[in-house]
Amino acid sequence: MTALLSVEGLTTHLHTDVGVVRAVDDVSLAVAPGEAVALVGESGCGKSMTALSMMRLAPPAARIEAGRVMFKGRDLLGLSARQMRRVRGGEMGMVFQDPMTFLNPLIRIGDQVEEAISLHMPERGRAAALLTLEALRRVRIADPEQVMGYYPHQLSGGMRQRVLIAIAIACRPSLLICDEPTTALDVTIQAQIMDLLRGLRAELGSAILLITHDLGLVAEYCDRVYVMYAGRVVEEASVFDVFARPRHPYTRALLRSTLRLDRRADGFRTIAGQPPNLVHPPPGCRFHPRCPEAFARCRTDEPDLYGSVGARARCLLHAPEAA
Amino acid sequence: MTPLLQVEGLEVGYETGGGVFRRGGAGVRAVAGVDLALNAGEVLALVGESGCGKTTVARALVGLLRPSAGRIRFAGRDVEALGRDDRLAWRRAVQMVFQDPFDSLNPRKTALATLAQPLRIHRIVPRAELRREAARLLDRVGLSPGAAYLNRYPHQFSGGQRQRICIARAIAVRPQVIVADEPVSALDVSIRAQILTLFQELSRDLGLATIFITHDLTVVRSLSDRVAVMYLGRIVEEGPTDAVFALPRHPYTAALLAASPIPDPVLARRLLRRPLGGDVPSPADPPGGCAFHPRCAHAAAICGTQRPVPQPQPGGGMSACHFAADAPQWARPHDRILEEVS
Repeated sequence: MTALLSVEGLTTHLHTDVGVVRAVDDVSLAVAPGEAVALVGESGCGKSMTALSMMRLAPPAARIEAGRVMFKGRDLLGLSARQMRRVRGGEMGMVFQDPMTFLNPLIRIGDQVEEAISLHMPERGRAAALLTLEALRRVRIADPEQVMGYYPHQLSGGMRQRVLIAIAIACRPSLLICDEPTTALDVTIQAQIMDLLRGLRAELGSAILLITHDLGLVAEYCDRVYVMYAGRVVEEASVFDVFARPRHPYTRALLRSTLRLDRRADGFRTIAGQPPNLVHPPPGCRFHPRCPEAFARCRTDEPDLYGSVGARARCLLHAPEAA
Repeated sequence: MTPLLQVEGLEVGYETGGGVFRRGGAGVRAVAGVDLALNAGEVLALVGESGCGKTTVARALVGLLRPSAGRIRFAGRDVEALGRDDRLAWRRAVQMVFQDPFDSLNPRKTALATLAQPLRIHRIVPRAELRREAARLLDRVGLSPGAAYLNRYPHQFSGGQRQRICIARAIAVRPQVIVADEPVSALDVSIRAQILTLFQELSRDLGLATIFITHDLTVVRSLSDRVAVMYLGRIVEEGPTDAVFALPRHPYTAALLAASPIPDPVLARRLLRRPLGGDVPSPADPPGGCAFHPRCAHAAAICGTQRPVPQPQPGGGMSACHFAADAPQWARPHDRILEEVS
């Protein structure tokens, strides 16, 4: 199987007043055509910065220090800004958390969707308008002719997110990168949007990279999972494995602190301590100061990803010599 | 037993359509007739989606908003009729914790100054004891040793630590009720658990009654004794938490439960999910009859014309649905589905 997207050793540093933040540190991940992959972690773990670096949208303070982002056989990090603009919004669609930040409040919905289409497709005029209508219909917006004439403020949060998805899928991308697409939405609207994304994946055959902190969404909608902690991937596994047999102590702790609807928790499980400072990350395993299973070597030896591709964890408990 | 805090027919309206270019305009009834009762030591969760009026209820309860109709009783007495001293006592007894710990602390005040103010206003301890009391409060909320944190400013604390300071400020005046408005929504999973544990300890150790406002049903399930579900300014269902989760008796509650993701890939793939269609209607122009009927899969003709009156339900709750009695047929009770498939 050839990967659609394959990120290899991606390393992004943020140059700030307090020093160099190692936001993304040697991250590798792959997405196959049509696959739904989750990148999970808590705020500050580097999951969004990984996605932004991949799309070459990281803020000016960020510098990509190393790595390759192979997408359909090309390294995106080697493309010119102009070539990159053709990829983004074309073969690679993007959906972000807050649609208001990405929609222009002064431009009608129809014009914003059409702009995305005319940047990537030959259609103009009436033909482009028809594609716009089709994109809005595809995201199940009722009465798309009318909505085309609306400004963003006239739409609800859920409708704005549909518009953003319409823009993202207008050019039938082979990969849809969704960064916390439903975090700002209510739970019934979240269900509608996730259902829509699942439907679009089936209809268009697009792969989805879902960046989220919500393990419930991961369980329901994804095939494979990468767990990030303190700038690094600490575990990769199939969705069934990660919930049934989490390998990394951080993944286990995260799952234990996840609450469920179907039973009353007998106490709220917490992970002791705070995520580390990424200017001066702890030596050895970055999770060792909070890890209930840490032993002497965890404080000194940096763990590798142990296991086979698609089923491995960055933890010395899984190092071959420990077995 | 008289409830500690009781709300009858609460209505709160906001002016809309006014502003620089227009005057007047129609009002919005954000809260359109809410009845609630909170007993001493009880944790009541108030759930609903954005715009349902849950924050407005909270603000009215602590006296930050004046109701346009209805009554709030504290320990049996109407708070509107209280004299100056009794009013101060009510304001002291009911304290609030807000959602965003970044916005609700004064950035120019140290933790000591933040905590000393309510202690002084309500004369909780003599002036000479302020420092020691503030340190004790910080210890109580898990910032220990408290004395070491007294001179720090908000920006020197993490989000979770800030929320702890907000909680310390709320319990400083030794209240009987805490009204917490989405206090963990801005926090990460692992930090969220720490703050929820703190709320649980406070209600157990200090006997505090809590109204916990949230949109997160998993938190409701594990934290609350009772739950009240709001939709468009009204409570549509209320009852003991375990009973409501086992068999919701309002279709909106059932829809909320069905929409919440299940962190279990095996179960999630076996459960049939039918997301609730449509958006929440504008509270400026609520649908006639039952406000939920345009989105309800079980709506009948009567639902569009007659507003259902809340009726007591088996299990100790109440539901405002014409067809609550048929709930065992239409509700998709989570517990039961999960048992069937597992």
